[in-house]
Amino acid sequence: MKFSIVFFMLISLAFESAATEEEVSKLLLSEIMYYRLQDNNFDAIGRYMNAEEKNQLLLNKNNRAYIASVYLNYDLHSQVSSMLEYLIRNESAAVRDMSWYYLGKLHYESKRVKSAVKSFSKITGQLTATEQEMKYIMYGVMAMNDKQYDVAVSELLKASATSQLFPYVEYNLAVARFKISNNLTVFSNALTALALKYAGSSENDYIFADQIHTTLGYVLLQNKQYEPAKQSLRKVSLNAHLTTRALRGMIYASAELKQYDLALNLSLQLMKMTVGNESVHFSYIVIPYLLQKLSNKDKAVAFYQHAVDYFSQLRIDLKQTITRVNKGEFDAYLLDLEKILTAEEWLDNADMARLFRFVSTLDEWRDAVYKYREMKYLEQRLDESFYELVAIEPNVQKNYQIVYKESFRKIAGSKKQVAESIAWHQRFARGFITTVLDNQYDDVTDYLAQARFALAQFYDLEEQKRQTTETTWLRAADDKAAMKPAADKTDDRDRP
Amino acid sequence: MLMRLKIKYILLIFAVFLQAGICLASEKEQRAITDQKIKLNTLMVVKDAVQLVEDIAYPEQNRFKLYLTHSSGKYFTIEKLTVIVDGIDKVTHRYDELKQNALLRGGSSRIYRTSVSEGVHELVVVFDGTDRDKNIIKNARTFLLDKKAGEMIVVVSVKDNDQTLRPDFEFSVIKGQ
Repeated sequence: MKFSIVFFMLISLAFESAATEEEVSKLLLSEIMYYRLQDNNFDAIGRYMNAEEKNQLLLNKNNRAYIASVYLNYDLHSQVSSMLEYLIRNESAAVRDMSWYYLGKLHYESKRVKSAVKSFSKITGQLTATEQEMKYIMYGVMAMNDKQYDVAVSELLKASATSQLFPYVEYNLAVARFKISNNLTVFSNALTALALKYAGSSENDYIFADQIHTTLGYVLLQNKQYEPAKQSLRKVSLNAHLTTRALRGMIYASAELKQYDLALNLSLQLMKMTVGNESVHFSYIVIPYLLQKLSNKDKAVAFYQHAVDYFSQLRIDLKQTITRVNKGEFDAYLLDLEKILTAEEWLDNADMARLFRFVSTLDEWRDAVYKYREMKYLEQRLDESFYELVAIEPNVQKNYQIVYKESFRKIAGSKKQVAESIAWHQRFARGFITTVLDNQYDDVTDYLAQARFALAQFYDLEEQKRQTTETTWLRAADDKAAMKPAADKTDDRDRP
Repeated sequence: MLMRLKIKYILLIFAVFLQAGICLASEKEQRAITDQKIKLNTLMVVKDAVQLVEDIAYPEQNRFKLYLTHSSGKYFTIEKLTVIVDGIDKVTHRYDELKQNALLRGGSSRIYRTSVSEGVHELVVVFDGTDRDKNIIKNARTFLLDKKAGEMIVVVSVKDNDQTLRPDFEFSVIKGQ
């Protein structure tokens, strides 16, 4: 009797302890999730490491996959691979495939195509319908990047029509088929039908439609079909990502159709746009050219003079800004991207402010800024740990003294590494801005040369009273780089 | 002969540029790998320091932790929370949209960690927030904390009560009953 009571008590204690462990594990996992949902991967991983070290977590395959995704989000790929290996060794084929799929997707999104293909190739087919779908689309887009259009078509055709990404699949299919057949009519019909099929009122619908109309417009321009090109480009939304590109295409088409009034109007619109400097530069050259075409020579000359002044000043400003960047005056941007949006306060003139806003849209710059901030955050966390340790100093007993001192040593070592990385990213970011500004400087120099040449030609002609203005003017303002649509732009496509 | 020499130079210059390009790419890749190592190392160092602080400042015998969970949020959106122990304000948390969202999606937030002596203590949690019509709601709940030896973990949960159309605030002891 006594034995059974003791046995019963032991069993209930064991059950209670197991229940507590499970509840604690659940609570700690939800705490990890709390930080992850706030995009605070550092604390999410920190909490996980702490709990894992104390063996407080009872992880199933879903939890493990979730933790792996937190590591992935924090770019700790080396750790993820060990987690994936664990899943691969210990879990079913479905979980293994899911792991490879997520790793492949991560590589794909980070533009590591070869690694993505390698990961995807390890999938044996145990994916959910959505994952399978995504895999086909990613394969298709990667094949298009490699200019393997046949492969791209066969992969994209596997995607189901019910997929949310199907509009992009159809778009990429049309582009890939055009690359194979070069049949303009079929391509034009396909894209027109696609625009009608997916016409909607959401922001995504507009972006998608703009992409279609711009691509079609430029392909038609390249094939000298100016009127249809103009019609396609005019459907692009105003004040959108592709507006300036569409406007430039329309100006080119209108000029080719000798509709100089329209081209001039569009150029004036383009000049007012504040999206990037290049469109503004282009308009400074094209406007006087069109004025000349409209026989308004006086205004054309005045405008060329204005362009020469504008580009000359811009070159001076660019040189000064490059010097300031190299001195580290703009490093504040690395920590506060918002400041770029109010760059007028920081920069002496609006053109430079616009240029910095343009720089802030470049992926490489964003990446550099992101990494720099990540390291700054680590530095801050190490400082916090340092002060927390300092605060508990009076409570440290003898048995903790060695570990306590060791902890300071580790913090100091880590801070040194972090500082080195911060300096590297700072150098890289400065170098990046300088390169962009240098390129701008070269472009502006080219535009200045063109404007000066056109002006010189004009004065020369006026003095000599020569009548062959037509050809000279065309030569002067034929800005091939700006007027001629880029030949390689037809493979524009959206990544899903 | 001169032509050949020229081609040689051009090839040499091209090779140098190519090499420079490769170096730059590999430098970036190398940096990415180094940064991963630095991140991991920092995580470990900070984790160890956190652990040490916990062990020293909050020894397991006296350790007490309070967590908050918040399900659904139909009748209450938390904005501020204050923890009072034995009549003394200990800590206040403010919840912005990001934190509210993280709680509502299943996250739990550790709101208080301390070292308390064994025995009974009065724990009061004051909740400030709004209801679904944006009316201000202030509520407080008291919990008598019977601290025994060993770590104690308590969770305060905010739940929706569809019958009263009001939030319920409940305490539950997860560990150290």
